[in-house]
Amino acid sequence: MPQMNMVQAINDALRLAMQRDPRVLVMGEDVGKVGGVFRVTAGLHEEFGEERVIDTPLSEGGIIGTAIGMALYGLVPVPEIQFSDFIFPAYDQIVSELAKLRWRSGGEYSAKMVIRTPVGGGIRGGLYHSQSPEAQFIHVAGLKVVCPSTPYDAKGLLLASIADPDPVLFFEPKRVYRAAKGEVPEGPYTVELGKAATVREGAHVTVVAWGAMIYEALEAAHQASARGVEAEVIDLRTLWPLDVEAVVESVKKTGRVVVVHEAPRTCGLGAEIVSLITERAFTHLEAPPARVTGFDTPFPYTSELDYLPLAHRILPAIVDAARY
Amino acid sequence: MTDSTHDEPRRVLGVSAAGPELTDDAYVSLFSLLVRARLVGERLDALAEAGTIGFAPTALGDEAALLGAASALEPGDWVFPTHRDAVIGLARGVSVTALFEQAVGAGTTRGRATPGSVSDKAARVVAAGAPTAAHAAHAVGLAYAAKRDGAVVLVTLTEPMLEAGELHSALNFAGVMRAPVVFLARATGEVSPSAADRAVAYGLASARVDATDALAMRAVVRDARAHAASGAGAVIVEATGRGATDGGADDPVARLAAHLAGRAGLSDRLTALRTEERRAVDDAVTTATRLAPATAITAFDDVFATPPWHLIEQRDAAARSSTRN
Repeated sequence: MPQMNMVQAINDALRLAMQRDPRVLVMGEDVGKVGGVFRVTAGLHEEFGEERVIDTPLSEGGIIGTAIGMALYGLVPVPEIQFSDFIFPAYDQIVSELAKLRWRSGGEYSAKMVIRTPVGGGIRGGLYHSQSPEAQFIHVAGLKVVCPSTPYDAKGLLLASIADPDPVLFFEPKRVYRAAKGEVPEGPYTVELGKAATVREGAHVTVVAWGAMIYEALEAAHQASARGVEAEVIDLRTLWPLDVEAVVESVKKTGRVVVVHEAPRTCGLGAEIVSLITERAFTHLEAPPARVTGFDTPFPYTSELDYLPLAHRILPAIVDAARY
Repeated sequence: MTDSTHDEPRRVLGVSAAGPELTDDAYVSLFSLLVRARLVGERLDALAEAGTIGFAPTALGDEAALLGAASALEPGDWVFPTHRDAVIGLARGVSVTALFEQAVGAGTTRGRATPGSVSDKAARVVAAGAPTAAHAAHAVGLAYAAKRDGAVVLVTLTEPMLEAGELHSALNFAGVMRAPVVFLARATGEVSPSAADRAVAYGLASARVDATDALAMRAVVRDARAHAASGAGAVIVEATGRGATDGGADDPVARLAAHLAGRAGLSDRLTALRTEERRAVDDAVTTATRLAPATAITAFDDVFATPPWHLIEQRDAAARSSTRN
């Protein structure tokens, strides 16, 4: 089985999807001849031509707006927003149009597409190349939100997203684009949307994380183990609709939970996860649910390793929860 | 069809006694659309005034601009109207009943969208969402996709939309993608530079036409459609002037009526047609206003193709607490 990093796995998924379905197309800023700033679409322009690998003007609203029109006609666009920090000019098209189209037309129309965009910090990119805006899309009815942490999941989740009838935001954790490597099967396969993965089993504390922070959570769990605390790490993979059953079942077992995310704390997805756990497993809780997150500040350029919820911040939260 | 910056608006009515060559049936069909659109607008206004519906975005006075334009399209073409321009759907197969059902919160859109937002896939009509000009980019994208099938997209714009950033995006993409789109813009002097004046910046063709002249609208949009379909790119058609509803010189329905009254044998048909249209609209209003609005519980459908767990939970809770299921 070939070894791939996440960039290669996503590229493989896009190529397969385009080979298998002539309706699938890729569009965005520099995705064609250049192959994307992170090289995720490399080689597609040569293989599929400029009608299906479209270099667009620098206009995120225009990219998503025209993609909606293409989807209305039955094409399956996979637009790329170069950084998720740049998605806000397209926010109106995504939340007011794309997310509501099926609903407001009484099911007459829908616009299925997968919006791919690199997310998160840790690449010394500063405040406009590092943010994690997932909660701002989850809050809007009608969007699915996905964030893989491994090459295997990235390929399988992307192929599942392209096959899904609803619009999907596909956040790619750029910090591990090349660092995350693993075996990726050749040919098509899917990883079901809405299903979390338990990536480490443990009896004492549940850690819920996703994307690049999975590796930090695993490192913290490893260190906690040396102190006699066994953490169970759940990789959400699909952020919305999330696998509430997997999370709640784990917390019923451990009675303790730490939620980790890069995004600012207030109204982050962690707040929703903690609410769901509190509503469904209140009597099982042995400690207050904890959050280890980014701060309620803009993303800093020079001190990102303090801002990010890295292993050194997750570890004390796990230990504190276990000893509460 | 190129740069119309210095052109006078094109006119047919009152200029040429003969007008373009249309059959009597085509004249009658066009006139009936204008009459129907006028009646629908008047009745929607009345329903809003009576408080029966929340509000009524109508295009009274714009009947020639909208229905004249739509009558130039081919069956495979698509239309993206703003809410106020919903009557353009009448030319594409949207029924009068559907427009009133939508206004009272029933019908195919299930009480979700606001009055005027009538989408109909069979008619290839996609109602605009928010009034931000976001729909213009949808028109461009669909046109890009439909180009290979020879289809053209007509998208209507309100005059203030000329100032919206999303329209700039759409016009830019239309130019870059050479998408077969006809942008139907209005020019009453409220916004400067006007739509046609902007076309050259995007590499688009443009045309000016008298907004109250249904035959000129039809002729100009026919040319614009041919231009777009040929692969030469999008066209901005600027419908100039403000139509009235007073039966006078600026009333588009009255203007067409006066023109057709001069044609032998048509007069009786037009009179009968007005009566017939009025009865049909009255019936549609009666039918629609008797319908119960869609229930809250149906709002959980169509958020996603299949409701996920959280919507099922909320729907069941709403069903238990609802006063009106």
